[in-house]
Amino acid sequence: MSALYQAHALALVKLAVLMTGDQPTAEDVVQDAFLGLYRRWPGLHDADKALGYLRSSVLNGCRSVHRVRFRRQGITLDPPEPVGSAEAEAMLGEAHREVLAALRRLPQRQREAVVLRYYLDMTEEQAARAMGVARGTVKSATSRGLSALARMLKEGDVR
Amino acid sequence: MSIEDRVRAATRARAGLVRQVRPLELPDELPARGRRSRRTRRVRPARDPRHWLNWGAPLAAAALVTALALALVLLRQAPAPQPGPATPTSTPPIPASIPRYYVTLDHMDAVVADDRTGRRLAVISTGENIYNVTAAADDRTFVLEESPVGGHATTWYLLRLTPGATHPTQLTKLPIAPIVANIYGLALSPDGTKLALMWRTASTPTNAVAHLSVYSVPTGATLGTWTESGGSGHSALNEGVAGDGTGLTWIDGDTTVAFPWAVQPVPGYEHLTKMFRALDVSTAGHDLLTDSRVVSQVPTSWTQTKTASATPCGVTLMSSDGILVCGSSGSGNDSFQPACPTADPTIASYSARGKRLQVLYRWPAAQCLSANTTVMWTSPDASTAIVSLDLSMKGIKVTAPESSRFGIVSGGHLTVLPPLLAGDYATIAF
Repeated sequence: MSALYQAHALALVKLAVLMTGDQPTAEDVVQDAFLGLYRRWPGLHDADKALGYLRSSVLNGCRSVHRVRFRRQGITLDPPEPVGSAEAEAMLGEAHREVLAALRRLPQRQREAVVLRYYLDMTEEQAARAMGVARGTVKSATSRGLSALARMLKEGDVR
Repeated sequence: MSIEDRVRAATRARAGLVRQVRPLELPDELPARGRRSRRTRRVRPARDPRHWLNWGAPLAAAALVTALALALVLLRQAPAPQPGPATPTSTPPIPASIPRYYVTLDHMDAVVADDRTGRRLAVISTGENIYNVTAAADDRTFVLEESPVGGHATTWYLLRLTPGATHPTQLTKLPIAPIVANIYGLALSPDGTKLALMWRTASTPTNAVAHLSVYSVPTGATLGTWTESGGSGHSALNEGVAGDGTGLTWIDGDTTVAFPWAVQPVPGYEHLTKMFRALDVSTAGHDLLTDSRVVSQVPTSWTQTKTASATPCGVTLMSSDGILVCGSSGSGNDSFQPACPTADPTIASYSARGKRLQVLYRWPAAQCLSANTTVMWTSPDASTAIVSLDLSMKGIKVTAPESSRFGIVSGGHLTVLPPLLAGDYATIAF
């Protein structure tokens, strides 16, 4: 378990930061994912399977955070600025900040699909497995996510 | 630079700022199989016993003295015994017609709890990812949706509660054939005999087609499937309206399903026209739009000021009598603009034409940067609802007691319920 954490925790926290927007929350999500794996460990000796479980569990945890924070049905509202993100993102260029702000405004599923496809360079099949959805769902979510991002960035409708 | 490249560059730059993470904290021992607890206490890894002796003994002695002193002070100052929030005597006088038990999600598991006492009845685990939940009207019957982590097919479980029994829950896998699709709505009929699902298929990014299927819970047989003809693309917009299935509702008994629908007269999400359509599933048919009719327009007006914007229907739920109940939402236009005066956090019912009928509760909020109300259950006549109310300040949920409420609203009054044990207000069934 410790070796698995050493090998993958940082990458998983990075993924969770992109989904939640702040590192303390991301670390909590990753800790919970490892805790879940720890409980299921007797049935999960395959390291590849364990990583798949962890990645899905992290996405699930981020989804829960998202549900609490950003639940807005049918309307578009600016999500609250994540704790600590302002300081971190101040180190990035304006162009990157705009993209990240737009990414945060995407619906959760679209954001997951876009991040898995273009940050982790997953195939549609891999992203589908991680998200626990059909491949077609990843395809449509990615397409809609990119369209929305392009529109937001073009309109400058991000803060 | 393409949008894909911009996403790659920005996400990798942001991820690159994360350079270290805190150490892993795990419990001392694995719990016995079948006795897992989501609230497993986290403890630090065991250390060398000699190290413990160096600080443990004086610390224990200090803790003992402090505890003794504190106990004496408390004994002196203690008033007459007060019932705690979880004791039966503190249960507010809530009508029995308002559901007492709810199921919410905690990561991959489901948690069954009592909203009167705040007590947890059970944690349900299927070993896979439980993604959604819906309830019948008897306050005892639920259906859990399982979307496996490593697989594509979605399956369902029937959950029956017997509060007070030695084993208060009974979980049975439903004989419904697994579906490989994006399932974005589910609703159990009030009598618990039928399960309605809304799902979508797509072979290209632009040809998404919505389906509504109804299944027999006892047999798993498909009782009917209605499909959006022509693949108008409108269904793709519905994910934002009914993404967690709360918008799918049985109305007029066990024969009609109301589902949210959105059309886009002009390009741009801000111009969606939202409505609820009703489909009589007791008669034969196959066309989702031709066979259904619009039963309610969702008020989509926005109040826009220089500092804030708000909508009366951030979250909508249709009662079983077909009356719309909305929770308002609003936020400041930038990070430090007050929103509460504009947001007017209110739970209200609306007519089929979108006219406000009755204010169930208006939150006397003073200061906030965003305000959100969520409707989770409503009585058939839409006069009573179970809701949550949340204010946020500077992007963080306010921690003051008055900033967050979970309770029953009716006639302008709020009866506060114990906080949720787990999960959140978005995926929950009463």
